[in-house]
Amino acid sequence: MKVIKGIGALALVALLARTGLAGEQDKEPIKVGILHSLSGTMAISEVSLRDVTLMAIDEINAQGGVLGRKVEAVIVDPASNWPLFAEKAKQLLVQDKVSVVFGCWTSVSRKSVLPVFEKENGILFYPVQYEGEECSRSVFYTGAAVNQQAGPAVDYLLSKDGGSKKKFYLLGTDYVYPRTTNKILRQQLIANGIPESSIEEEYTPFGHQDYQTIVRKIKAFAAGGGAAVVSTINGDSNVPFYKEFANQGLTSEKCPVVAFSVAEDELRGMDTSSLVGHLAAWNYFQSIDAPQNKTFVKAFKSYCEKNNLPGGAKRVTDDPMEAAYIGVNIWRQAVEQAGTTNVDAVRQAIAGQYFHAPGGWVQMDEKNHHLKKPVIIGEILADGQFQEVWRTKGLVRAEPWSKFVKDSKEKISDWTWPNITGNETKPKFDVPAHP
Amino acid sequence: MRHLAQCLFAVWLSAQTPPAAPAADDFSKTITDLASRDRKVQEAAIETLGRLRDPRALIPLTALRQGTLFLMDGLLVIVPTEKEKKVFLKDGSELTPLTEAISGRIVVGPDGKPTLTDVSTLKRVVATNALKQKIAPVLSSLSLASPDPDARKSAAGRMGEDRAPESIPLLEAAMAQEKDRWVRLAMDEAIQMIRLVDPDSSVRREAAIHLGDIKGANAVPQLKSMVTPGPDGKVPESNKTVIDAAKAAIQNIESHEALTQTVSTTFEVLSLSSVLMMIALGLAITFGVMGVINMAHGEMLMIGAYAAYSVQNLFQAVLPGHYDWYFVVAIPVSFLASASMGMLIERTLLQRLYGRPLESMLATWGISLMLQQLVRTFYGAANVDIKSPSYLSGGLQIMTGLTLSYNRIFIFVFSFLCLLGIYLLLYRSSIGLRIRAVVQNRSMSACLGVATGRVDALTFALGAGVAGMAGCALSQLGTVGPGLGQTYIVDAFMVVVLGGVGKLLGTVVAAFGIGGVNKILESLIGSALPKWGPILSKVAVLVLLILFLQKKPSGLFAIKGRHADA
Repeated sequence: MKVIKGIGALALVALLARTGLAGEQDKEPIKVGILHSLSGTMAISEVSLRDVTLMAIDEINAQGGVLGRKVEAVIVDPASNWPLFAEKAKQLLVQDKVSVVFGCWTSVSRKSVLPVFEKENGILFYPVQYEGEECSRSVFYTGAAVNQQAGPAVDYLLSKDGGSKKKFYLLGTDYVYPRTTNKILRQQLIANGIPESSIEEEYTPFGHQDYQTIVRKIKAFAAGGGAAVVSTINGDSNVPFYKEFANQGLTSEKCPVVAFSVAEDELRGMDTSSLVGHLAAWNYFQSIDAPQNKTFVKAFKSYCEKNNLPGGAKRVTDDPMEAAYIGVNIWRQAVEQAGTTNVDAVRQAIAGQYFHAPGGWVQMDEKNHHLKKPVIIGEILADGQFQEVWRTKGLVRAEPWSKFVKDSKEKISDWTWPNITGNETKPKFDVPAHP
Repeated sequence: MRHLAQCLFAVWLSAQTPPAAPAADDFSKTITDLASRDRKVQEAAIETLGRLRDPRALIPLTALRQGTLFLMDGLLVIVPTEKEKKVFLKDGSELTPLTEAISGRIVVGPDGKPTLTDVSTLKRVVATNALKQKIAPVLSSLSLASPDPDARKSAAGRMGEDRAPESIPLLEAAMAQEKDRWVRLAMDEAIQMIRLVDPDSSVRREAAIHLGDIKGANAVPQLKSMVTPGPDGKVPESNKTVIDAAKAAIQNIESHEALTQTVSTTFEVLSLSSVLMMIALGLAITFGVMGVINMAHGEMLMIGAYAAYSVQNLFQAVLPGHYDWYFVVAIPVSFLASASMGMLIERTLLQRLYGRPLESMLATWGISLMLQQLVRTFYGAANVDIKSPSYLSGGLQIMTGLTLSYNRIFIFVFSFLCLLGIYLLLYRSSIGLRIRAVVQNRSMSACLGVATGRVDALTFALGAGVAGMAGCALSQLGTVGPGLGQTYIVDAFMVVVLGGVGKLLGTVVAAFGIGGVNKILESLIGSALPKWGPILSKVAVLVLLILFLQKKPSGLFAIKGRHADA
């Protein structure tokens, strides 16, 4: 009897302890990691993503958090150093035990953290447009794949609305994104009946500042009309390129430049007078005329002002920032649906989530971990904003493995059973037959 | 012909003369129609505007195309696109002054001051893509009378490409009035391009000959398509004399292009070289003369550029009317900003590290990182925008197909002025004498009463200040951001090392050598391997440099004598 009593008491204590612990755990905040460079060369782009991610987390906390728990951001600075990205990612997952990580900008930083996320079973939300040819189980890509940005942009230039262009100058910085994108675009152009002789391709080293020779070549190329430049020029090289372009007397009317790396945030740092009338292809623009977008823009500006961030109310929103914002919100919806922060449960719940984003409804694809988004072409205005000139009908589904690249045509990106693969041509498992 | 053109132009002008009252109503009604929700009404309005040829339509039509035309309680207004004119409130809303679309007047309140309106309360007038397609030709025909020569030129070019015969009288009328020689040439070219599709073969022949005479490069693709056999093996042009004229014209234009290319490559070499010299001059003083391996040299450029940015912002806020002059003020300000930073670094840190090149190299590298992060904290991590003043935007057309941009001409002249200034200071002034004395023999100079410490500080400040001016000048060419220094530091060291440490002349020769080799290789490699021009030329320059330094480790102009080893 005594023994039973003892056991009962023990059980009671254990029960109390457990509920006590559980109660404490309920109040404990959910940790999420932010892995964006705050110093070094990439800080120029990534700081804005940290800001908008923190704003999204603030908004969630103001509405009572997720599953009744506050969300707490653990911010690390990988300092634009690729190996450091992997180290910091490991620190976030192993030491801080974060439930999810929002981060990375360059493809090389993503490739650097990929093995860490796969080994430690983490989730990464990656918010930037990229060259595709990847589909990891651990990553959710909220930026555009090539067929959600560059591909439709070229379709637009070929169409009557875009001026039925016949000659294309593919100009980029020398690294993986421009080279892969241009490889895909070249195939796409040839498939559309543009002869090889009307396609020029050229690359410059990182940080290239002297575009005299290239612009002279473009000028000769554009003589007679019907020409367009497709620019994957990255970062600081854009200003010297556009300045040289305007100063040598080329105009957007004569030869438009359509860019995939110039958004509102980059335009803040440029003398826009030389860019007016040129084009960019994105999935979101700050100028989108929708009530939820006006709220988003206003909220971000006042967030920057309130927190004394450089730029204050003059800050702008752009496509990668919207994508980062979508990432946080989709994760929140998935956690709430799953009722837990368990990585495997959340990963399943993320697939297929809809979200009413600032730019309109988007959906996380049920299978390939990429976001379905609309593609919009915008024309640059003098105030550094874009005027929408064209958009696709409905949402475009991402093709991480491009049908224009030889080896990737056959690959499946499908994380549902029995495929569960992002990088193979056949399903991993056979559907069991009836015995 | 000339007569007819003038007559037509007179008719055209009369359509533009201050219209009588009913015409004015007609115009304002048409403009109001642009905001209609009915697309048919909008299209009709654009058609009417195309017929009226009223130059006042240029602004509202451009606004409609750009999406800056808005409705405010039934009044058509235009929102300016310059962000300087707008006011950003703390809660994130955006206030802007407005212009009435019809009258072109600024909307004012009862107190006579421009009213600021919250943008989110306005309703945008939407133009569909199909509508924009209709606006484009109307805009370009209106642009023929635009005050901006570039707009007139590109309007003419567009008409030439569209090849609509009805544009010929318009172009001829405009050409008769045109004063700018290059615009006139563009109009002439457009007219001849349209004539190339004339049914009369003698007109086509004359057009081809004329295009050859005026070197109309824009017509080359069209001329070529006339004389090359199509997929069916037949030449599109049937008349033999026209074919001959077209072939002659192509040859004529292409030989002219070869000349253009030579001239422009020369200019490119000069321009790139002067940029290299500009960024290396400051380093030639701090590293070359003083022997400090100054890894923070790039950040001195950056401070100069940010000083220019601050001056620009000050002008925008205080003297918006004299905005263009900010750059003149920015040059001395950027010199002073970088020079005082240089002086600070020298007095606090470097003076303790003379004669220890490795330590000073590491210390200056640390300083460069600190300065970058400092700028990120104060100005933000994003790049900042520096607007070129109007006299440094655009270019000077010196021959058909060749425009030299003003900012590059400016940097070329400015770099030589700096060089001259430094030369005079170092070799023709008493402070220069002291600097050289301290460099050659520090202890002897000290014995003779030279305050070596002060001379060191001044020399370092001079080097930093020159770098600051270079940063200010470069802000007209490229990006200004925290990483600006990193972009140029390698090039700067390359020039100074190749030139020979301690020799100003070496720096000049090395800058022109590297610039020349780089540009010429870029052209050569570019024509052989189109994808690789800029990349391989950069690699080639580095390889050549390494080979050269193997042969002559002390650079082009080595200092001879005992103090070289000191």
